This record gives sequence, structure tokens and C-alpha cells, in this order.
Amino acid sequence: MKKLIKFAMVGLLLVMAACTDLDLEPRSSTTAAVLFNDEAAYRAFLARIYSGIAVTGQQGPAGNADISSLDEGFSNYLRQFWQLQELPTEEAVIGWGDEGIQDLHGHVWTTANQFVRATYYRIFFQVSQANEFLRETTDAKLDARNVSASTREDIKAFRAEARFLRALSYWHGIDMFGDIPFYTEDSPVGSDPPAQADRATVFNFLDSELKTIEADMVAPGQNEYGRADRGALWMLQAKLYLNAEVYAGANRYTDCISACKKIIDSGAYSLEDNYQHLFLADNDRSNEIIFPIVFDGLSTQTWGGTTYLVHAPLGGSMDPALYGVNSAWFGLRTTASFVDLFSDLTGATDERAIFYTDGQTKDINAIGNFGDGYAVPKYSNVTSEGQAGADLNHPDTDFPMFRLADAYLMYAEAVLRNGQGGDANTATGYINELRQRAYNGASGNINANELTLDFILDERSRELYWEGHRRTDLIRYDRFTDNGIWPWKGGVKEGKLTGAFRDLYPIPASEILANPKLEQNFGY
Amino acid sequence: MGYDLLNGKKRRFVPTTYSNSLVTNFNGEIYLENPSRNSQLLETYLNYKKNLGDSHRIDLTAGYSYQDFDEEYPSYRAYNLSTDIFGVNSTSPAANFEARNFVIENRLISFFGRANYAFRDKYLFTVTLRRDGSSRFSENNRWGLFPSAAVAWRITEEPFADGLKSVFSDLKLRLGYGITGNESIPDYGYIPSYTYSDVRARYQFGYENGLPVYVTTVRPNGYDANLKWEETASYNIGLDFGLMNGRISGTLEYYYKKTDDLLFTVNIPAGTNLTDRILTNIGELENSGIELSLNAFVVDTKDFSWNIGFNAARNKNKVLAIDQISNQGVLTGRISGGVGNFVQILQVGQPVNSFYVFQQLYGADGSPLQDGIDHNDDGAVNLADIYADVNGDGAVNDLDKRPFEKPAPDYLIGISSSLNYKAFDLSFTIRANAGNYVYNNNASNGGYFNIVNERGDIFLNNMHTSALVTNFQTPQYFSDYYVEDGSFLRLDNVTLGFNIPSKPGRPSLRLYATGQNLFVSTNYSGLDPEVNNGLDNNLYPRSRAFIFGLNLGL
Repeated sequence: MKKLIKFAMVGLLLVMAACTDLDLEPRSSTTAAVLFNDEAAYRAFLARIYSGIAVTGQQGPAGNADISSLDEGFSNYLRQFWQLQELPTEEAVIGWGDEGIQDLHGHVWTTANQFVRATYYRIFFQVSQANEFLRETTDAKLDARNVSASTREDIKAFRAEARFLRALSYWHGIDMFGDIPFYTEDSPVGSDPPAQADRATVFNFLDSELKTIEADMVAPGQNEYGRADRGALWMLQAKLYLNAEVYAGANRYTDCISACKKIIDSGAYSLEDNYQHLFLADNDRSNEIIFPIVFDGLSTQTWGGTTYLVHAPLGGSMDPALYGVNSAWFGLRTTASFVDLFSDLTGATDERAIFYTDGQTKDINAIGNFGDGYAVPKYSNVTSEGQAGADLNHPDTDFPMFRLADAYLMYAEAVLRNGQGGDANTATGYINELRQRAYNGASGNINANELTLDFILDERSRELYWEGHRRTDLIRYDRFTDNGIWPWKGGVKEGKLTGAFRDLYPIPASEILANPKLEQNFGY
Repeated sequence: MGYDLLNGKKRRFVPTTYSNSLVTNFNGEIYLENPSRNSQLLETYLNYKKNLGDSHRIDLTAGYSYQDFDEEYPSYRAYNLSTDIFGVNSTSPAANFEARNFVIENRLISFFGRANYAFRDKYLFTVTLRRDGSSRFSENNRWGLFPSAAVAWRITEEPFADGLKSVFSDLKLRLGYGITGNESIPDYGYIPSYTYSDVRARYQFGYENGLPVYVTTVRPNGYDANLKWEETASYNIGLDFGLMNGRISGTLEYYYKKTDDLLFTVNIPAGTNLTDRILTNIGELENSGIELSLNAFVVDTKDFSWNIGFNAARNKNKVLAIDQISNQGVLTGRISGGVGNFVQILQVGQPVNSFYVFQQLYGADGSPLQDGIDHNDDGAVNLADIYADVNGDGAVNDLDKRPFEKPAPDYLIGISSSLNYKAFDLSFTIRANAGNYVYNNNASNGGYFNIVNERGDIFLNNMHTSALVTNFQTPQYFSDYYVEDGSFLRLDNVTLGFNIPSKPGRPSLRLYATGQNLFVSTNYSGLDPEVNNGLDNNLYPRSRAFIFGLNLGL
């Protein structure tokens, strides 16, 4: 009997020990096999690539972060893209003491700069997400999942848009970093580190990629709001071609004119009557914005995006309530060099002069002091009818990534740079359309003789300031580093020239060390 | 076999009058969380013991264990309160609500065996072998094999050691080697997964009936399919000894540990994954040290006894290798102040979590050079005015930070004493650490003059008194001024007691008084140098306790 019990015990032990099941799947998140049973998942995944420019994680306004190389609120794509495009120029200074932020206006950023790092990782986060989308929507995968014909039709446009968003980020990549790691959907997760591609090689890829997907993009003005259409694609082409000398040493002004003409001639977009309305809480109704980054006070929250662009310029004696928000962040102002582009700061002459000067000085003695430098409340969380947005922390205001006015300005500049297919009279006409809106009449109109490249550079600033274009524009004009002076450039009050190598940002130190195939940009 | 159900309860109330509420018009918050954990544990083993004659003793064990932890984190947040009078007890005053739930589970299964063999209690051998499986690794890397072996030799049992017996009452030499595995990482790190966005992280696609349509998005998450066990190989050699018939006993031990496949979160090359940082196996660490402990009965008579214990340890650790990431290292040690600031680093050749800071420059009066002044007369006010150009490139920037001191102590020393005289007893313990450094985050985060008026006319902020020495106008988080020697000596406790033993018909009685944490002797300027990982940031103060007691034995 005793023996029997012993055997039974040993037997029981062996049965128990047979449990070696260690396959546990996540239950608060899911896997591709489950997710794509629902055909709506493709649309949800595409929306995530768009929202990659707007939000920082799967929890709004912060939480479940996409990237973690720095604080989540700082990791917002639009916020960092904007800072890298604006803070090193005469258009903006910021008063804060966060590590490395003063290095941007001072042109002394290093390979360890956290804002440079965030921008870099954001760009490649987008590329990687888009690649994953393309891998999950191949014909083979859709066949295997028996995806319905109507969804497959949608997915055709989705794939084109994913490739457009990937191209948009690759453009930001070559614009800021020059030669960058280049990889497509052919490099799955866990691949070897990608090799570095020449700026010109990536430019050529983008050139052909955008042509390839053009037909699959939804017709201009016809897509759902928030999604890119063919007009957005032409804008990206125009941007690439206008800067092709910088990116690839190539003269593509004729192609730039042709892209701008497609946008303008499509008739899908028209100038907003009131300039300020482009930057208000109900700017989703504007017909001028070709490609917006969409925010909503309740549904799309972030500490970057327009939350940053509305709060950070507020401080001093400004009343946040007048801008539809509950707090001032005491951060952004502008320099005298930008202020001097306007003769009348009240906005009565040129309504694009949106300054707040009460208690502010024009000159900056200490960047850290909010009262030094005029404030620029260009973005606001009130509607064109004066109503505050739905939430006082997070504006409803969308960001105009591409808008028609820029197509007009690019057309004019490409004509002046001897591109073919356009003419100076049409160009002057476009510029005067912008100026008539600004001056509420013809008093600010120019004639064709006044239309010069220098004039265009200033006019671009008057029209497009604080919209994330300035650094690229100054580099195209060779006035960013070893040319061009403005207050506090180079860390001195009167400004000084800086090294031309700063036309490119450094690849972050963490990336250089992680990917041995990459070579650091010259000078860093 | 066990089943363990753990239910937690977290309640947080932030009143509308809280200063941060004033700044952001945040208007109060109620937060409720009820975390729960279901643990299923099963451990079963067979044991076999046998003595073979007088000389051989065998003890064999084989077993199996199963542990499953199923955790759930439901939480509820209500904010923008119209009144504070209810505290957490009612959400009626709240204008906004948010509910979440989050579930994770992990499982650990082990097969293990142990064999002990002793020959005449003179030679002792132990061999163990574990095979551990964790749900946190993929099928290919799931199972780790972890052996260990130890030998002990009681030298005083040897005939030839008879001569030693006049000195040593006991002398034992021990040798050990073993490998252990670590899998304490978040769950599911190897699985490709998708996370849904919450209601506030959706994205607009068009309109329906004039109203925006917000799409709940899905994000593919980063993962490392090749995650595997972190393994630490330990070597130790020790000598246990007893002198004067055991009146003095002690141990001297040396150990060396080498950790491979260290599990750590690092930046990975862009283009190789779906995010920027991944928890992966990255490198190697080493730890080594010598430990000595002594215990002595100084006096041992009927009425009077006195026992003293002493231990001292010297420890060192070093990062040996970090895969892919070479000299720059991995930043760690997040601090309060600014956003996303780290003051420590894992760098090859340096102690673990070395502080990574600028070298502060000092004026003739010995106090730090004040910021905002062009001390070096180069026409610019910048970092070069107050910090040293460590790398000598003519500029002071991030690249001039360098590893400087570390949080772990070089020496740990402890002394305990217990004295009995007739009915009285008196005991105390003293502890000391030397060579441990502390980053004073309270000083760095509050010690600058601009903080006072930072909130304009809403309210004044407190300033840390260190600003009176540094005269810093703006925060200088990365100054090595804030890295201070945290060596200390602490009187942990003292107890004085009086005992009356029981007799038939009379209960025993003990009266005592204990003082805990009676004094700390240190040069550290903050509240307490004994802080987690050398970062002093709003430490909850250790209490100084006085306890008077009466024990009655019936």
C-alpha cells in the first residue's frame, strides 16, 4: 500500500511537471493575426501614421509613448520639426532652460542635443511605421486574409498615402540631416542596421516615388479632411524641386513651377479671406490649407503640436483666456530682425503683423527673460467667431503644413530662378493676391520690377513665419550660417556668423554609436 | 501549492488649491486605482537522504515549480472639481472623467535538482542544476540552464591540522561557482503587438453630417524577438573560522560576479525596429568585493557578558562592455527639473550609474562662479564661463560632461554591541558607508534665484538655500557642485533593557527603551545621504523613533 501511494505521488508529480506552457499573449494589446480580422484595422493603422506627426503616444495627451529618447511631451514630431526649423533663425527665440534648447538659436548644438535627437527618431519612427503598414497590406497578405474588394480598393489609396507620409518624413530627413539611413518595406523589424544613403540618392528616390504614387492619391480637394490628396503630393514635389540645388545639386525650377501650377490650376484650393483665420481653432474650415496636421481639444491631445504653438508664445501681460487657453508658458518670442520686416506692428497696415508689444521690448538683452523681444500670438485656440476651443489645455487649432500661399511664393521664386513654364507677371499677380489679403486692398501691391529674390525671401517670412519653413528658406538663399546676421545668432547679442557645416544637423550621437554604418556630418 | 490574491488600493486627491492647479487651472483631481494580482504557485519536490556507513552522507532533491502572476490595473480619474469638500469620496463635483484598465500576466516554470554529498563532515559538496522557463522570452530563448557547484573543506577535521587546533576551534574553506538568470523585465517584450489609442489620441478623418470623425488608431509596437536571459556567473572563496573555542568567530570572503547579456533599454539603430529604444541584451558588468565579519564574546561570565560584532566590506563594480554603443554610453538617472534630464551614465570602464556632469569652476572665494556673467571675457555669456572645457575643444557643451564619482559606496562598515549585566542589557548598532556620492536634486532643482518669481504674480516659490552660496540665477542641473560625498556614520539603534525572569507564581517582566536613527554624521548638505541610487529628490525623511516598552510573560 505504502509503495502504491509512493508511486501515485511520483506519478502526480510527473503529471504536474508536464505543464510547461509558457505561451502567454498580451491581452491589453493585440497581435496582427487578431487585429486584421477586422478590416477597419487598415484605416486605423493608416490614421496612426498621420497621427504620428500630431500625438506622442497611444494615450492623450501623454502616455504609452511612441519613442522614449526624451520626455514624451518634448518628443512630438511637429513640435521638434518646428523648433529645428524656427529657433535657429531670426523668427524665433525661446526663454526656457531645458538642456540644449538655447543651443538652437545660439548655433552651438551638439551631437547630444535632445531636440535634434527627438526630430531624428521621430522621422524614422514615421518611416518604420509606414514600412510596416506596407508590409501588412501586400496583395499576398490581403489574399491570405480574404479582404473584401471594397476594402482592397480603399487600401490602394491608403498605401499611396502611407508612401506619401514616408516621403514627407524622408524629405525632412534629407533637409535636416543630409545623408541618412535609407530603408524601405523590404527591411522587416530586426533587420541589420540600414546603410547611409547620399542626400541626392534619397532625393532621386523621392522624385520617382512621388511620381509612382501620384495616380493612386485621391484627387485634389476630394479626400477626407486630414488625409493627404494629390495636391499635398504636388506641394511636396514643389518643395523638393525648389530646394533641389541644395539636396542634389540639380536645377529643377521648371519642375517646381509645373507642380505649383497643378496645385493652383486644380481650383481645389483658394486663399482664406482673413490671414489670422488660418491659425485659429476653426481653421479646419479653411480652403487654403492643402495639408493640415489635425488637432482637437478632446480627441487629439498632445503637449506638442498646436498646444505648444498656442501656449509657448504667451507670457508677460498677455491674458491666456483671450487666446482660448488656461495658461501661458513664457517661452517663444521673436527678434528685431523679423520685426523690422513690418513697418506697422499693429496689423492695421499689413494684417500679417501679429505682435504683442505691451510690456515687451523689441531688443533682447536676455533670452531667458520673457519681456525681452516682442511676442507673437499667431496661433490661437479661439474660433473666427471668438469662441474658445473645446478644451483650455489642448487647442482645436490645426497646423497648416502646406497651404496655397506657399505654392504662390514657390511659383514666383522658381520663375525668378529661371524656371520655365511660368512668367513674372503671373508671379507678381500671385504675390499681390497675398498682399491684397494682407493689406485689405491694393495699397501694398508691388510691380514686376520689385519682384526680386530678396523680396521673395522677406515676403516668405512675412507670409509664412512660424510655420516651419524658415531654416530651409535661409539655407536655399545661403543666409543661414556663414551669411546672415540676426540678434543672438551665435550666442552674442548683436549676432555673428557661424560655421557653414551647421546647415546640416548632426546625426545624434546615440545613433552614430548604435549604427556603425553611419558617418557623422562634417564639422560635428 | 499556493494561491495568493493581492488587492491594492490607491487613492489620490489633489485639491483645487494646489499651487500647480493655480498655474494650469487644473482644478483638482481624484484618482482611484485598484490593482490586483492573482498568483498561482505550485512547488513540488522529491527528496532522498541516505547515510552510507559513518562516512558518507547523500541528500538528493528533484523538483518542479510553477508560478503564474496575473495582474490587473483598473483605474479611474476624475478632475476639474467644483468643490474640494468630498476629497476622494465623491466624484460628483468633477467635470471630466477617465477610466482605464490594463492587464498583464507572466509565468515562470522551473525544474530543479540538488545533490549534497558529505564525506565525514570534512568534505562537503553541493551541486545544483535548474532549468527555468519564462513566458517573457520567445520559444527559442525561453529555457535557461543554471548550474552551480560548491565545495567546503573543514580543515580542522584533518589529522595534519591538529597543530592548528590550539589556535582555531573551527576552520572551513569554501569555494563556490554558479550561474543565475534574471528575467525581471516587462512582459511581452518579444511579441509583435498592436496597441489601440485611447479616446484622446484619435485622429480626424473627414466629417459625417458636418461633424468631425475621429478614428481610433492602432500602433505596431517595437519588440526584440531575440530577448534572452541575463546571466550572472559568480565565483566566491571564503574562509570561516572560530578562535578560542568559538569565542571569536568570523568569515573572510572574496567574490567576483560577471553579468552577461545585461538586460537594459537602449537606443537602437533607426530602421531596425518600430521605435527608438528597446529593452534588449546589451552588455557586461562586473562586481567584486571582499567581506570580513567578526563576532567576539569579549566577556562571558554569569553576571556579565559582552558581545561585539564587526563587519566590513569593500565593493567595486564596473561596466565591461556595451554592445554597439561604445564610449558615449547609456544615459540613466532621470532627475526632477527641466524635462527629460538625466545625470548618470553607464559607460564602459566606469562604475555603474556614474554621475555624468560638468566640472564647475570656482572663484577666488571658493564659491561656484555665478551664471549669467562673462567670467572669461570672451564677449559671450555661456557655459564656458562657469564650467571647465574638459575635452579641450575650445567650447563648453554637452561633450564636456564626464563621468564623475558614483552612487555605490566603496566601503560598508557595521558595528554591533550587546552587553548584559545581571538584569540589565544594553545594545547598539552603528553603520557607516564611505565613498558613496549623492546628487542633491533638491538643491539643483530649487537653488536658483529666478525660481522665486517664476510664477509671476500668482504666487512666490520657495528657493533652496544653496542659492545663497552658488548665487545661481538659473538652474544648473549638470554642475558637479551638486554631486556630494555622501559618506556617513549612523547610530541605527540603542536599546536599554531591564529583565526580571519569571518564577513560579510570578510572571517575567521586561522594561526597555529603544532609540532608532539617533544620529547621522555626514558632510552631505541634504537631509539624508542614504538615498536610492544616489539621487536625492524629495526623500521621505527617515523618522527618529523613541520606543518605551514593557513585556509581560505570563
